Amino acid sequence: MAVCLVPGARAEADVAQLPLEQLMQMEVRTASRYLQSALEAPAAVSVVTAEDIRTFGYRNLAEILASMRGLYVSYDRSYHYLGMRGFSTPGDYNTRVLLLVDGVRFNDNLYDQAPVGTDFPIDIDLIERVEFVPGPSAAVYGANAFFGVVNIITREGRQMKGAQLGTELGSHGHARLRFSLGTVDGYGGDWLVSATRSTQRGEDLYFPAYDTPGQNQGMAQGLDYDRSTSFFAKFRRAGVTLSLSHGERQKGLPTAAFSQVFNDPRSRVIDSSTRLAAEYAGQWNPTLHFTARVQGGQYRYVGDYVYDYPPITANRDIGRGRWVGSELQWVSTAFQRHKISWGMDYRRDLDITQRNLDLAPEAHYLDTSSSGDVMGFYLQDEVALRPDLVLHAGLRWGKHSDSRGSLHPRLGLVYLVGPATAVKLLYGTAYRPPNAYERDYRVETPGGVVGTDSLRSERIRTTELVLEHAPAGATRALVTVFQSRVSHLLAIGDAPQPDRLMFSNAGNSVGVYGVEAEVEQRLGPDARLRLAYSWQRARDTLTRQTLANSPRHLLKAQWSTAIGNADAAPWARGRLGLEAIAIGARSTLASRLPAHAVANLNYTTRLAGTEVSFGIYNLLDRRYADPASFEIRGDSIVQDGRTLRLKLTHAF
Amino acid sequence: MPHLHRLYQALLVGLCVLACGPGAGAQERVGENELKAAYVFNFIQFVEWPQGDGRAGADWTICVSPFSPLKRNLLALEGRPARKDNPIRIRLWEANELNDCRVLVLSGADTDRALRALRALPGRTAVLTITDDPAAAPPEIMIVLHREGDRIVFDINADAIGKAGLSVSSRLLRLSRGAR
Repeated sequence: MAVCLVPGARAEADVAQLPLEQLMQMEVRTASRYLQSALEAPAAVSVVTAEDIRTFGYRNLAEILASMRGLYVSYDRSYHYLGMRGFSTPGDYNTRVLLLVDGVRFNDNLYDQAPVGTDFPIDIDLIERVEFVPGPSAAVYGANAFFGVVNIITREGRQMKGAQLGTELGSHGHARLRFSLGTVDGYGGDWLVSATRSTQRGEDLYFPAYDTPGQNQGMAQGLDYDRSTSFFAKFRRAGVTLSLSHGERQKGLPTAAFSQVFNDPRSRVIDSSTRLAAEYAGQWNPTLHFTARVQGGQYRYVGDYVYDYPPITANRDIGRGRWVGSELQWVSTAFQRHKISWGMDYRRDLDITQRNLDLAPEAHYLDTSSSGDVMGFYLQDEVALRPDLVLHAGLRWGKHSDSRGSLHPRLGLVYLVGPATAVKLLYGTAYRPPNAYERDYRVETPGGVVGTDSLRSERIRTTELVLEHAPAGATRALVTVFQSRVSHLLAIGDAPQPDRLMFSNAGNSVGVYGVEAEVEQRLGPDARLRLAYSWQRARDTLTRQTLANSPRHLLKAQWSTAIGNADAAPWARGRLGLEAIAIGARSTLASRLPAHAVANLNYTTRLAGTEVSFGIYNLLDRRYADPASFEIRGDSIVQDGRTLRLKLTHAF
Repeated sequence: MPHLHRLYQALLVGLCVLACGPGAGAQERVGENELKAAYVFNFIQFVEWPQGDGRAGADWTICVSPFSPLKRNLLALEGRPARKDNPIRIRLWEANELNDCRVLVLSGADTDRALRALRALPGRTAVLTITDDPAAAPPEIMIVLHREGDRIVFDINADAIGKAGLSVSSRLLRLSRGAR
């Protein structure tokens, strides 16, 4: 055994070579809303760090999430959709995952959408780590924490150490420019300000379903563009944090989604949002910690769709949501053996507006607006029953102004088999009430959504058994077996009328079960390997049919190593990251897609004070497709072939 | 300095106990809490408890705060011989069962609570109090473990140790950051 103890004059040990996450014993915040070690948390948590993002050259949040155990991302060239544990319901705008940024809810209040793709308005170079907690956590977070919770922890100004300029060039006319400034002022205040502009021209894409002479032989020209601007600012001093994020993304729609005219240059969606948050956190006395948050935001969506009624007419879809909210949380250790936390969350939906109109000649099809409240109270107790046995119990009551209040429990039993091994038995529940879009959006145009009977909340309950082993070395192994049952699943589908869609809870219950395994191992001083495999089945309990876009197998491998020694030329000293992601065969709405595997390679080095990163994505130029939703003709969307990216980051 | 040598040997033995469990590879490195737990094991070797202090059983009980970050690593000491082949027992501390504890490893709000309970006990308590939480360390605590940069160091309050009827080896005192 090589223990890194360096004899010195005093009883001290050199732990300088320990990686940070190990020193911190991999602490996570998302599972219980307070910091705890990952091994002892009542969840099978996954973490991606800023270092991983750099090493593997992830270009957006979707790629970060796609690298994690049990997650898979589908892209229909308008939005990215996060699938987990066999669930990626076509037509679901990520409403069943709760996205948090620094602990603050990021899903908007109109579609409940978690922006996980290029529409995520924070530059990923500002991310310190991403935590993912699988399983329902309504007992802690309320609605939308249905299949899991993603928490993004942003960087501090002091980590940036001055000004930074990031430039990127890539395939399909991609360019990105970021300017960030991080500093600590004379009063100890930590500042981070950053702005990013990104653009991608996109390729001309071929869609066989539209291959007729009248539809440009199925070629959508110049319609896969993706342009965005984002701004982020954060200030932190003595327990007070203020943050502001703003982002706007414009995405061309090459797919003629929602029965549009094919290849019309006007077809696009714009998503913009602004969010403000203030947090105060303080240790009121030795046994009581208090956190208060106030937040407000606005989300706006504008979609331009072109229809041939006839005549050919541009139709505009507008959605806007504004909200303010507050959270109060107390964590008390006043009772011996208990860590009790309780709190309340409140959100006021000031205004949710949905409009649909033809631009010329002007005609209005929808103009609806609503407001409402969401409220929740929760209580959690972490009880140390024995030195090696901890019980986590939580209960939350939540109410949305248009539905009845409901109680959601959670239980977790964490047994420490040894100092580095834990067995966890977890039970959780969650709900998701219909969002304003599902509830109020009704348009009598082609591809429009027609009314249905009243919709109700969908529900899930999950039981999970986790075995986790994390000895002090950079090794971590985890096996988890889970079983869930989803009832009253809310989904969009074809309506009885032709060319119309409708929402309903009509689906049967869905049963999901599966196994996940993950191993992370340090191979020598400079190399790391992580392997994650998931096997799952998500089936309708009555018809026994597997859901659409539900692969049975998911396999991920990430390997990275330092290359070049001190004698090598500067460009030959760096870090190589190789990633492979394999997704098993999936059904689409009408057919079946074969299994596929994609490899990405990224090399990072340092030249004259500039960090250089060069990535090749879909290294072997595999042709594969993701399942598409009802609104898209042809039931799958072919994804990008091999693409390149060169990224330079210079710190001043 | 042979005594230093002995301490290092003891520390290494302690670390072996903690780190050489199943799964420990050749490249295994040591985490902060693991190291602090190894220190706790070693302090036992360098502190003398009064003879015949009437403690029930031959077990060497280390009582720990339920939310101490060291709890997990201390569990690795369970059943190991402490001194004179007395096995170590790890349990959560209880205010009314302090008499069984030879060592108290405290953190957070428990530190004050446990010290108050100790003060209420009649006579000399002969309980070694240790914390790894300098922020919540009152002066009466006997040993405080600190992380100083990349190293673990400790402070010893020899007065408090003496008042409790314990005696600490001069070797350990010399290794501390400075007797107060």
